[in-house]
Amino acid sequence: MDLRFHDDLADFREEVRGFIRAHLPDAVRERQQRGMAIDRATMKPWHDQLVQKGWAARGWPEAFGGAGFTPAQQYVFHQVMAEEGAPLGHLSWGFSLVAPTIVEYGSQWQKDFFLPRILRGEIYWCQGFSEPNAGSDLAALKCRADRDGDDYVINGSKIWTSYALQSDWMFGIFRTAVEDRPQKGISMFLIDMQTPGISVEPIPTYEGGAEINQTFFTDVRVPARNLLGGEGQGWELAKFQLGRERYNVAQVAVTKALLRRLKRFAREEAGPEGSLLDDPQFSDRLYRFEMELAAFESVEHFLLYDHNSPAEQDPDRMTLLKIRGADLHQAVTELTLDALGTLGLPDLPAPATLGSNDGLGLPDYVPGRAAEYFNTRKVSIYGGSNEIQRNIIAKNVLGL
Amino acid sequence: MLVGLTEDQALLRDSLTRLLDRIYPFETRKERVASEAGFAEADWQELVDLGITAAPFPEAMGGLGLGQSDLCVIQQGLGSHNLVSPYLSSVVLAGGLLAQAAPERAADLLGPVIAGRQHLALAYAERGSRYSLCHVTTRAERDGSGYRLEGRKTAVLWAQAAGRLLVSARSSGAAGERDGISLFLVDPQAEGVSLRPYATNDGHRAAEVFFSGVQLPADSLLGQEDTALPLIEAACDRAALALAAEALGCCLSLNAETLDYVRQRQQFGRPIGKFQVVQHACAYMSIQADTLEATVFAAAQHADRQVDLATQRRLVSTSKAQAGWSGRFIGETALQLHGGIGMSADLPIGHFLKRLSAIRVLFGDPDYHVRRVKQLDAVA
Repeated sequence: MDLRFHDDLADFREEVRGFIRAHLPDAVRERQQRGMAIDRATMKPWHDQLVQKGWAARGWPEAFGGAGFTPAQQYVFHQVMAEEGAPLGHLSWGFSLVAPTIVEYGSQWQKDFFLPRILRGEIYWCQGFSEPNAGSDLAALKCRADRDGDDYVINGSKIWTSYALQSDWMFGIFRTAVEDRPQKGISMFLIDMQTPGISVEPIPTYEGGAEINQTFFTDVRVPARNLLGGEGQGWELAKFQLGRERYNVAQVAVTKALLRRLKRFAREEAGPEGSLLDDPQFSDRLYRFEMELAAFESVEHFLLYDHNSPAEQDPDRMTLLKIRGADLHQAVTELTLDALGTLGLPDLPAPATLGSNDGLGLPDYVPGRAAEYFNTRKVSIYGGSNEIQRNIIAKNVLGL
Repeated sequence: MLVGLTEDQALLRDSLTRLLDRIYPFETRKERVASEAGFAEADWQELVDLGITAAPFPEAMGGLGLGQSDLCVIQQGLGSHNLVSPYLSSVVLAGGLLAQAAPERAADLLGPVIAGRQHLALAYAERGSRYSLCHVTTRAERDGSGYRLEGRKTAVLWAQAAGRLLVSARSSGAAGERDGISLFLVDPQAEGVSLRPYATNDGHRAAEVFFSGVQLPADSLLGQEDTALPLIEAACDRAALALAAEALGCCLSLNAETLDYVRQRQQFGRPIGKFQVVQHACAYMSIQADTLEATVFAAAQHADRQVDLATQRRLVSTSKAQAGWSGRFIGETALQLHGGIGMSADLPIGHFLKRLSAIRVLFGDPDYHVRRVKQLDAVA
């Protein structure tokens, strides 16, 4: 279902589609569609194409090498990317969180050093926010950064640092002072992960994943020029970023792509009384879900696409995208698991190579789907749990 | 707890819990699941010594003659520790079917199972059969005095551990017909039988089993030719109820773990269990577990009193559907309330969710059981 109440971007939409179809490498598209991890080397040719076209940094101002897209154009761009099977999350922290913060708050040196490297896809970032005792209560963070000459010296640890082992730099918030309120005295630093004193310990997840870690800092010396914004301004910067992260994880387009794949499977997989899509109970659930997603897409449309929406300038209204986006993303994986039935039981990863046969004669679609359901439990936890997000709506939007 | 146990049942529950506390702490479970077999025969022998392999069989067959309620107490206990073992598939499902289908041979055939020397597996499901038990295309053709078996079975729980397979096959009629299904005892080592074994995502084991021109002697037929379906249905119902009881054990452990966690996890200067949003989630987890407990034991107690079959099936369906609903809600909520750490492989939380997710689809998911109740109503 497309929402084009006043689609003055129809030409743009088709231009994006044409570009993706012409340049997205098959290896990237196929891996994306199968829910497989895509390594840096496989991704590079595609990223280079985006850079060449000037579309790598959709939201940045053109002065910094960005595409200078309006929010509406960015929204359409991501919709088409998902529809065409192009990866969305690729390098997303650098582009959508770190770079905008540098543009807004960074020094000239930071702009000159980081922005071109981010643009060219040379820096993979990990996020250093949560700590073992500072999760939902992020302001309780204790990992210290103490000024010492031209450096800050960092001691403590960060947890849930996804892809820390594959990342070149971390953007993180650290305590530079203890003041009357916990939100004060927090500062944001950009940290080279190769700096001596940093060690990364993987936290294996229950579904078999190995993407998350705890990162330990022992007397890690970070040059003062890597302080982003002023000392004590870290909480403001983190809020600036968390607002954008909420926006990013809405991912209706991703959920729609998952639904399309599920629908194809339900149409093709034969049961004793026709296909699964012929089963009235299952198809009722599937179509009910499709309608809930369409309804949510309307919300997304007004919040992200329609300049006339009074909510557009209210970042707290965006919170509903995170909550509902997580709910629906999880719901499609639940529906998928129910559709698979006992086919989903074998503990198989998504096939590492295309066309590989697991010997069980399962449809290509099946391996990896159960792990996807288990892994997707995290989307209502990270970036501020759904409970915290509902508090934001109650307090800041509804004034309770 | 809502359901009062008899003195014997309380004793059974307590000794099983003590045993599993000793031999199957979470760290041991991790090692067992990572091993080739998925479980340890030494652990199994301890369970045998406790008597649970003998529990569901009549005394004449060397069993203890316990009922469905007792079996649910056992399964709940196994679920509370998320035990990975062939107990359900070998003893409850295949063993239970064997005892009903061929009582005259059961004493001989069940002896090694009760003693813990051999496991059984029931191959009943087929690709494309979804949850239907009569959608059988595997064929058993008369061949001389015996049969020739041809076909493929899917998701055969613990087939790789089994010394004998029970196989449903069509001796007449077409896929979907209730008549014409027979039950055979098959040696997995026999010529023409091949297995593709795999681990399931809850740490258990299963296999796809292929039969290619397998020659079966006449005495491999269990019970009467063409009439096995009602027996298979009854066995799967007992297994479904037992699984619902296992889900109950998982749910109660998750609730206890989660309550512990929200009491000790401090955020915003107090335990997170002091926040209403967390309290309400915990309250609903408790309601979901109570509901599951009550439905499971109501079904089991009715079964022990042998009420009419339609009522029995309705109660089993209600229990199994409730296990699916409660299991998903409790599993997901427990993980959510644990936050990021709930995703860790080193906590039992996610592993319970995995088991509950498998239980949800085994022997019919909630949708299937809703449909079955609807059909029972239409017939009545």
